Amino acid sequence: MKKIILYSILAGIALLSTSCDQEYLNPSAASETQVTSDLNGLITLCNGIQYRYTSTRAGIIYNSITASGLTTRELTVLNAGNGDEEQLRIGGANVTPNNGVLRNLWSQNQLVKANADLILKSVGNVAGDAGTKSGITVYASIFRALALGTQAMFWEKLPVATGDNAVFVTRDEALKEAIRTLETAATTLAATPVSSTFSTRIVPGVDLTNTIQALIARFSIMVGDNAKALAAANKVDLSKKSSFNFDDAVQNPMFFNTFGNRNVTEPLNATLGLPEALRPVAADKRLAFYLSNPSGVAAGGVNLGRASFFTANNAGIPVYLPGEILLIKAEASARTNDLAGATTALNSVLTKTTDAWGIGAGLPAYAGPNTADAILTEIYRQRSIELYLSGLRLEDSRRFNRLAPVLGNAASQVERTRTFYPYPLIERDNNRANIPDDPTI
Amino acid sequence: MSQNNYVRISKERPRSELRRTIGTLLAMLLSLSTWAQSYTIKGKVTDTNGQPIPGATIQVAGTTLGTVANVEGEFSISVSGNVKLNFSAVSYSSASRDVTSSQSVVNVSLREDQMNLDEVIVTGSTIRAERRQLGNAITTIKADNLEKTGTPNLVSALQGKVPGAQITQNSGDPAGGITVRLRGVKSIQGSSDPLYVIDGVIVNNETSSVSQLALSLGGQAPNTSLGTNRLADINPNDIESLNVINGAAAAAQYGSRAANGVVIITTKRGKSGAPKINFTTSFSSNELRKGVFITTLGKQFGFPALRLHTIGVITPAQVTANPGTTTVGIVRDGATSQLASNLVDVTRYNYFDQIFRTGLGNDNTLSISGGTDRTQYFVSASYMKNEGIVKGVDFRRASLRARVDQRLTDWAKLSAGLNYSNSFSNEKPNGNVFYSPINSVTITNNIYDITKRDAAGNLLAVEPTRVNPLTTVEAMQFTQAVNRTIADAQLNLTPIKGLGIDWIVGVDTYAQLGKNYIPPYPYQAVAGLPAERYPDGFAANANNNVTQFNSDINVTYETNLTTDFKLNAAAGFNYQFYQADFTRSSGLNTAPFIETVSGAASTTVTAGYGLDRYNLSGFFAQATVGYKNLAFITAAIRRDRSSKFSPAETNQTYPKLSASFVVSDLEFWKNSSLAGTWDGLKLRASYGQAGNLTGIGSYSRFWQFTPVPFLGKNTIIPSGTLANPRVRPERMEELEFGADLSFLKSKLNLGISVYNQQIKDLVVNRELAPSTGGTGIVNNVGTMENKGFEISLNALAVKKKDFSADFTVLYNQNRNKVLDIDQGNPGVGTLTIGNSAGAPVFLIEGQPASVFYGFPYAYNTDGSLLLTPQNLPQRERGTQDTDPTKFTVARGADGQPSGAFVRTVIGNPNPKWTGSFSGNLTYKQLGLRFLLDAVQGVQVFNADKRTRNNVGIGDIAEAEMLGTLPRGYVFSLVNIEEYRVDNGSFTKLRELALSYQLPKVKGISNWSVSLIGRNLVSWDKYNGFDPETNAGNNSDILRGVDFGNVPIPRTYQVQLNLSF
Repeated sequence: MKKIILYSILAGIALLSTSCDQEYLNPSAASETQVTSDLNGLITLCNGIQYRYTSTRAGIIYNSITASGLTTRELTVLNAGNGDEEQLRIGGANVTPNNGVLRNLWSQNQLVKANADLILKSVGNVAGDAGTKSGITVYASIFRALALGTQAMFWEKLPVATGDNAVFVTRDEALKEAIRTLETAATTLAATPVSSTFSTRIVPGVDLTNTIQALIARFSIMVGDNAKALAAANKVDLSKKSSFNFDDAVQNPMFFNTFGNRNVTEPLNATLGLPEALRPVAADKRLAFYLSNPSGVAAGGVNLGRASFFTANNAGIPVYLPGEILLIKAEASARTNDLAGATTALNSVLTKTTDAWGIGAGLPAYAGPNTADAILTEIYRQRSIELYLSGLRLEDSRRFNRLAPVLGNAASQVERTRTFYPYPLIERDNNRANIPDDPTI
Repeated sequence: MSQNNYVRISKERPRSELRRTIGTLLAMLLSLSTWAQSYTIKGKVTDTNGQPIPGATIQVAGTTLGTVANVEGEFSISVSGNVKLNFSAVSYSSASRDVTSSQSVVNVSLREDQMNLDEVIVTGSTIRAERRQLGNAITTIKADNLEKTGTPNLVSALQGKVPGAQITQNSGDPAGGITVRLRGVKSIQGSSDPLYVIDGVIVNNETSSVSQLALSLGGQAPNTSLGTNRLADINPNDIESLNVINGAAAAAQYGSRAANGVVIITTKRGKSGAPKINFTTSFSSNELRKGVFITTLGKQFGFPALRLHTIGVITPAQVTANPGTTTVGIVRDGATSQLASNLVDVTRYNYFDQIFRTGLGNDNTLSISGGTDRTQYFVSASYMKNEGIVKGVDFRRASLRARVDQRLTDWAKLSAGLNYSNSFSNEKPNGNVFYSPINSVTITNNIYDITKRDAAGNLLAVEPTRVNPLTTVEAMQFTQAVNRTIADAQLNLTPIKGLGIDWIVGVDTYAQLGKNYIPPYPYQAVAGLPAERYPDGFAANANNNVTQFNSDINVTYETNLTTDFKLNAAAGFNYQFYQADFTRSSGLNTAPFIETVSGAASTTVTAGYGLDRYNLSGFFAQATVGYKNLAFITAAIRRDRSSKFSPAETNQTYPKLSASFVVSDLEFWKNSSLAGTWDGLKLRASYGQAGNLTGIGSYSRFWQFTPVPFLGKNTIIPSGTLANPRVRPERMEELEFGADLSFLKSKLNLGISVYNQQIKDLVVNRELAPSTGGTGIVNNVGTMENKGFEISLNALAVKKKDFSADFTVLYNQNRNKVLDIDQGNPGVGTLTIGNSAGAPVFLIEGQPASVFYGFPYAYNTDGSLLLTPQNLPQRERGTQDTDPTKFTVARGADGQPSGAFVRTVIGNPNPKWTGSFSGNLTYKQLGLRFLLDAVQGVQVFNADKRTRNNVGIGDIAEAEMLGTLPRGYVFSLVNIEEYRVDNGSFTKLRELALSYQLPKVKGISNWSVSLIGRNLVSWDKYNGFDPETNAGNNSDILRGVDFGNVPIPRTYQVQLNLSF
């Protein structure tokens, strides 16, 4: 009898002691290996990088539009409790390396780039149809380029390679890397159109062919490659919309955080924060597109800002606007001294009454001096109005040599309050060997 | 796939084992009649004065056979052959007698021993030891200390009674959280909550909120741990005793889970004899102990529609629109702002009057116990309901408990226990948001009559963007229902003399169901509430199913090596499994009348499922060598493995070494004259290591790729947090020295323990350079320490037939210090603990955990405030040193602060000391008990104070309106974080109980009536409701923050106890 009981217990010990090699995986999450070795897994990652790029207050859309907007006086802060935004509004030395907006802008761009790299590295090793792989490659390439290009608009140097102790390259090199990525993607897409498997599984909104060319144009003009910019701009079909879409669950970050209330930021004034010489004329129909009350006074609890793409949780945000492409054509022409071509492109912006996104200035054609400088100034002015709150004005302000801010000189900070941003502490503290010094302003 | 297998096996395996065992045991029971010749021993156990000792234990040495003395101290026990009987009782030295079959009467008298050196206590699982053998401090709390406390919560009832423990009631809600911290904070990512073991079952005390989803899903209360910690499901009336092990002493039994200390709870058991019925019923009343100042002065700056009238900057447009408005320029931080300087008439209300109420409660427990020599049973049922002081808030709990002890043979005993409880709470939004009852009052200008309704009976809007406080208590519904079962089966065998084999199987499982509902606000069109207040309604439902399983097999062996040396050896194996399934769905824009997620707009509905699982198994061996029952050395080692650990870290080994020496039992001491006054001295020392698993996630070793809902397409994002390459438990290494002394024939007892805990491999959510592809990594890189001491002094002042008085003083001091939070990176010395209260909570190397680090006042050298030329306080300026807590003050030519704004440690939520003073006095049938509980040298970050003044309803706001403080005072305080740091020291009259033993009545063996008060008085200088509070609730890292917290009520209770 005793033996039976004792043996039972010993058996129990033996059974229990063998049961601990169990490995528990999380059924509500996947592993890197699972996702990156499966074609459908890679498509979900493509959607994931768009989610990371576009959604929430931590995403790149919110932070690039807000940072650029506050630094170039497109926006002002309504509630100083939003400390990071307030720092950017004041500008100069008040923008500290621990600013949360900059931290997100830096981190999420780096993460989108790293995630895109992971996709691009993995897609070659996965079995599957060429059309789906082409789609995956093109999609990841677009976001890799967007991440590198967007970051290069705000910092002088940045890492292109992902890894421990990543080294920094100049923004020019980063932009060129973005262009190379897009050009490779264009080749891939031309050679192998995307499969229906890909197009039914990817989030709708981004027009691949036109987005690639639009972004090549955008980044080429930034690095001064006017010929490439013009060539790419000419390839963009302006009747097509390319947008980042949202819904009630993953809301338009600018509406949800900013323009749906009056607590964070709103347009500084009815003249879009432009200096006197560049202010929009009253007849400009774009004011009604971008402001809830073109008189410049916020009515009741309604935010002054309201671009039609920031008016609802499910409003789509443009990847690029037709007006940007037209103005790139104008700029590239003006910079290569094709003044006639420049004026033509400029006029198509001034005189259009609507476009794929419903933007139209409805103004008379350009009547200013027929000099490159004058035309370029008008191009900058039109970019500032047509591309209001697109996150591009800081880059434009530098490229068009607008009044540069000087530290401690308030009069110099009327157009922009910073030229480049300091490097976020999260990078500095953990990558000390490679990080460059912060710019003075 | 194998995972599914596991679940099935884990349940089947013990079940089939048990089935076989039970079959075997039944067979044995049948053969009992043929057992050897037996006879009965009778006797009486008395003290040295001849008074009976009821409840004394009589045990047949080397077996599990035993009985308990009755009220008259008499016992009887059936034995066979020659035996040795061991006699023991709490507060008495034990004794033993050899008995042969010729003897039938054995009377024993036991010597008093307040140090309880011979008391056998459970040190973990089924392992027991005499107190004299222990090298560590272990505190025992008996049932009578848990009675008449005025609280139905077990943890709360322990306040002020455990040396080395800081027990904080974080919220005054009846289902609010209560935190126990033994010897300081021990983890950054994980919990510092001790491990709770009830009758050998590891029980869950987690805080998983299913009823505050409006906050948690919106990320509105980061770093908090909201809701009820689940020990609330336990009825304190079922507890017999509670052993608290503060340090690493329980490491052998609980290894990777023992670092935070272990609380070993033993529930009541039946005793041989006629059925005994106990009935306790009580009624209680809870009320607000102390309100906060709200001005009802009928004035306001500027004009009635001006929001934040004390600090609102007036534009010229506003001056034009509101004739009569005048302004004054106030200079703050070098910039001038125009504030309103005229006063207008308004009507003010104190909205708190509409929020608070007197809550009633009742608590009833009925228990029946009894048994025979071979079978004992204990059954209890209870029902408790307690209303909170906030309207609409309550907590109720019904429970049923049964335990049966069955002697199978004289070498085998079986015990099984079952506890079922059903808890339900009605809650309101937690304080961390501005739609909670307290905060909606704090953030709203009180010039609106909130009780007004429209024709349809709907409440009306108050200040724009604010919630009408009555909406929070009338319309919002947050409820939580819990069904819980804790079951255990225990087999104790003594097949050979000295050898014991024990097997415990325990299960703790509960299902938590939460409902969350905020109806659309009828006044949204006017109020314009922002999205985070869910203007169009919010509904969420969640389900959390938790199962914990443990199986412990322990083998103990006791033998005399020589006449002087004795060996107690133990070895064992245990297995633990944890699983939590969490399902939730939530949505916005709810349909009229529909209170669940079913009514939410389809485009807003999201759902999620989380599964958390891990197992842990470990072997241990322990040996104690005793010399002449005077000196003992214990060595133990444990080796753990867990599914949480990285493959390279599979084996975690925890050593332990301890020694004790009862100096006063040496012959020379006993014979010296000293023994007359100083009669007891025990020295103890111990070293041990223990682990903490709570900081590491079950999946921390994998890089998680998580799905998100996105435009109807499958979307997965790689986590920004990379995988921890070497997941291992946090490890606490402790050195403890102590002494127990007794004087004057054990009338005065003193216990002292000094400890040093070094915690390494602390899990820290470290930042990564984003260029690595992640923004963070959870790594075992931190170190922290706790150093301190505990003193307990007990004095039995008087003990006479009609009058007795005894007093106890506890004093604890702990110093916590964060040593390193980012190994190998000198650049990172601080970590921010973000929170919705705006409290500047930081972990800073070289500082205690969770200090308040922010902008101090500018001071003159004499310590007075350095005021601006407008006589307003201002922030300090100067140069910050490399040490982030230090700075050099700078002054301009005008004597005003110059340079940059500097920061320093402005407050510490870790108290300098805690202590208590309690006493028990009896006179004939009257009994009086009191407990004073003190937490001293501590600061609270009072976020509400600034809010009230900014809104214009606080004390400084009133002073500005009255002109007793200069205009702009509130405005100037806005950025001075030190202003919000308040003295949080308090001494509370925690318990006061007056009992009267009613005269004997036939049929009733004992009955008494008691008047009980809890938290009747608090002596503090705190500006808010109550300094004992925490917006982070059970969070271990966000402490001492007051942000919309519900204050702890004052409770009056009348209780009736009946025994039959």
